[in-house]
Amino acid sequence: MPDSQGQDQQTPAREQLDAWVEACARSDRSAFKALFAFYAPRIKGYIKRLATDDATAEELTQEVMLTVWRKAKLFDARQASASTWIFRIARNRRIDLARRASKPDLDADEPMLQPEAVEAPDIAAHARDRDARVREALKTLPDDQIALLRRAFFDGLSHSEIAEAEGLPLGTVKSRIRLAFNKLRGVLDPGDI
Amino acid sequence: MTLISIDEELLIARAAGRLSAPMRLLVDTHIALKSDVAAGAAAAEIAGGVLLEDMAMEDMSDTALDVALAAIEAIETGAGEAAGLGTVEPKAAAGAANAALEELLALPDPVRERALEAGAQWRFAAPGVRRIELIREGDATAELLRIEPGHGSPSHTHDGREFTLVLAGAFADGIGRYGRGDLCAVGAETTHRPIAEPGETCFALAVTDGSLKFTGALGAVQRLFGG
Repeated sequence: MPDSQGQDQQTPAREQLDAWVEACARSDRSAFKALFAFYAPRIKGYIKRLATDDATAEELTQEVMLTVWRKAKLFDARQASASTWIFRIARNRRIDLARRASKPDLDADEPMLQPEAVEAPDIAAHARDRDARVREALKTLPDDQIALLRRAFFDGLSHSEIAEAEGLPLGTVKSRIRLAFNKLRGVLDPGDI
Repeated sequence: MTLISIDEELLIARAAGRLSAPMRLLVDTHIALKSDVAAGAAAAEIAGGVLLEDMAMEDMSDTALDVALAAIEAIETGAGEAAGLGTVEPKAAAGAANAALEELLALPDPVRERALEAGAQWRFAAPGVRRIELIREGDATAELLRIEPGHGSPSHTHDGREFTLVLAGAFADGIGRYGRGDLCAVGAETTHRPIAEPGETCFALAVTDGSLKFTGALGAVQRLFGG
């Protein structure tokens, strides 16, 4: 996949990452160290994309990793992979960050860390392998679509803001993201597309 | 009112954390009601996780791991004291309200949780209509409406846009009929007075973005629907 310059480390298998989070629930420090080595620089990379200074990015990354430790008991590999779960934690920190100015008294809850209480049965049945299917589908996407997805996921931009930033017509941005998204969604819900 | 569907921009915005709390509740509740929306939301979150694995890395400082491990020791030491403190109090208080609760318990999970946290106190809104304010964030609000058959939501004016998601029962506004799981957009310019159909009590989640022009996804929603 593009945009992964400077990656000097192989991505561990999904099962390994999941197992490390599960081990954190049993207070296993060495599993935490392994998770930290893999995720902390990536989370910091994510947070720095939001135009945050280095010290703030480092601090928020620490908060995310400590949340991983504290909430590890809520992790359920049948519902989400470690990466998706940790992405949610980082994303939630980012929601907090965006609100800090307007709403200092933050909700202490972690939205969406708990397993989804309501889940369509046909989706739940495939929970274990849907991650793998979306992963495979992502690999088949053209670079230009991946680049726009990254913009939407990590740069906090709406479609029109992406269009402006990339110098592309809004219609092009919309259709590329729609194509990409339909492909990802299609592997979860094959009869729908 | 216009029947709308949750598109990929909203689902990605939800996964990326760009929605206001009221809009997030709206999307989460639609996910609970519609399996196709749930599939899209799941795809977005999985994609977010996979893309995170591939994120260009930023070096942490040399002492970062030691700092984290020290913080973990502090957490483990203090864990015993923190145990037993939860967020059950508002829910327990709401539990005392009893009978009126039955109806709430049948609602989709995200709304039910918020309603219980808000104290499950229905307030008069109009004849036959009661409301519980679930979230207020700036001028953006989410409220739960309970509309008895034959009654309508009070005519109201607001500067922003409003979304209505039907949770139970159905209502009609002269243009269309909207049942459980249907999501409608209401423009500020629209004059409408939806009336709950005979039979089942209608419950709806009403989300308004108020007069503020939000950036990000909510702004995108405004643009999508012509704001």
